[in-house]
Formats: sequence, structure tokens, C-alpha cells
Amino acid sequence: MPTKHVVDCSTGIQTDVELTAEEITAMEADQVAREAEQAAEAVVAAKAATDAAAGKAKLKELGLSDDQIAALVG
Amino acid sequence: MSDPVTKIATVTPTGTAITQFNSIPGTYDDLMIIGSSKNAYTGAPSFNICSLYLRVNSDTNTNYSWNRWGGAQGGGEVTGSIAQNAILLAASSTSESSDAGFGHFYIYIPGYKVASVYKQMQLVGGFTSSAGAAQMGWTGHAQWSRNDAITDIEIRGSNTTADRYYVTGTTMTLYGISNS
Repeated sequence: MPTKHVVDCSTGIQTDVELTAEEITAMEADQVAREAEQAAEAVVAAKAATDAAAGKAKLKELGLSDDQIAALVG
Repeated sequence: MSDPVTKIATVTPTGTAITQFNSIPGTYDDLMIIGSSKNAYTGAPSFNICSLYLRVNSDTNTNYSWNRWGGAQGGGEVTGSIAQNAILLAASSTSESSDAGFGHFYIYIPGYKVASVYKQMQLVGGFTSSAGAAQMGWTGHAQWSRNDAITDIEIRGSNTTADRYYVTGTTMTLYGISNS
């Protein structure tokens, strides 16, 4: 059974306490939620990168030099 | 004049992914936590694996918000989140090799016992891989949107599996700060 390390700051006593089933369930739910959040962030970041590349390519087609594009959009 | 910095407690957790400072005395003005952390995961570090979660007073509701800005793997990074059930600290290294160092963090909590305001925190932390390829260094800010005095602080790994357990050398020290 997983444990937690607890220090009682009023006494200095440190103990290892077994987690309850509810604590384990909550922790696992947190992890699932965090992974989903990261996946969503990765999708947004990938789309932004794709859009940026497409926009720069379009500017190139319009005749701008690489330096001009960099000056405009970095 | 009282000592400006008082060590309240040091923990050196191993074989667990959770550590708690409970029954924190209300005799100081501010709190500070300085920690170094490594988990048992033997692969390369990543944000998800290296994150620690901070909670206050066993509050698992969505009363936390945080912002972080810094560098991640050579690029800039600005991110944050509101209405979360914990504050994320990217601050634990993995045990990917024998010479992997320790992630690290610093947390400063002003006015932790003032019962009429939300509690804000200054955060600093980071971690890196042994090769330096995967790394993150950041500074940040967080808030616990409750008025209660802080009496308990929990810092834990991202889940309860054995590869997230803290390993030997992990140390977290809670200090009380007196301003007068």
C-alpha cells in the first residue's frame, strides 16, 4: 500500500502513513486529468506551429525575402 | 528580536511519493520551503514525470491558480492555469542515470497565517536530465484562493506508483520567517 511521509511540525515527530483508497483514487484521477490537459496543450501548440509555417510560406509566395518575413513575424 | 529564519522541520522522504508538513505553528510571519527532489523513474525527465503537486490544508477543491515563466529545452515557456486542485511545480529529476542530479524548488509564502486574505506564493524551480537535453528552469507565482491560515502543506509526486517515489537524497525543509 502506498504511503505518505508526515511530519507534525508542532512535535517534530515524523511518521509514514498508508494512503486511503480514496486518496489513491484521487491521485490517479489527478494524473489522468493532467495528461489530458497536456495532450490538449500539445494539439494547440502543434496547430500554432503549422499555422505559423503556412503563413510564412504564403508571405514567401508573395515575394517577401526571408529577412523581411523575419522582420515582420520573427 | 526573534530569529529572522527558523528551521521548522526537514523531511527526507524515500519509498513514498507524498510528504506533508502538518500542524505548522502560527508563530511566524511568512513561510519558506527549500527542496531538492528526485524520483525513482529510470527514464528521461519530462514535465509530466517531474511535476510535483502542492496542496494546502488538505484542500482538494479547485482553489489554486499558478503561472510559470522560464525556459524549457532551449525555448521560452510561459504557461499557467486557474481553478486547479493543486499547484504544479516542475521540480523533480528522475533516476535516469547514476549521475543524474536533483531537481529543486523554492517556495515563499508571505502572510500564511493572515485569515482575511487569499494566500499568494513565490515559486522558483527546475530540473534537468543528466545529458542536459531535457530541462526546465522557471520562476512563478501561485495563489490559494482561501482565507484560512495555512496549517498543512503537502508536496507529492504525480501519482502513487513506485517509480514516482522520492529517492534517497530528496530533502525538503520548511522555515518560518519572522519580520520583526
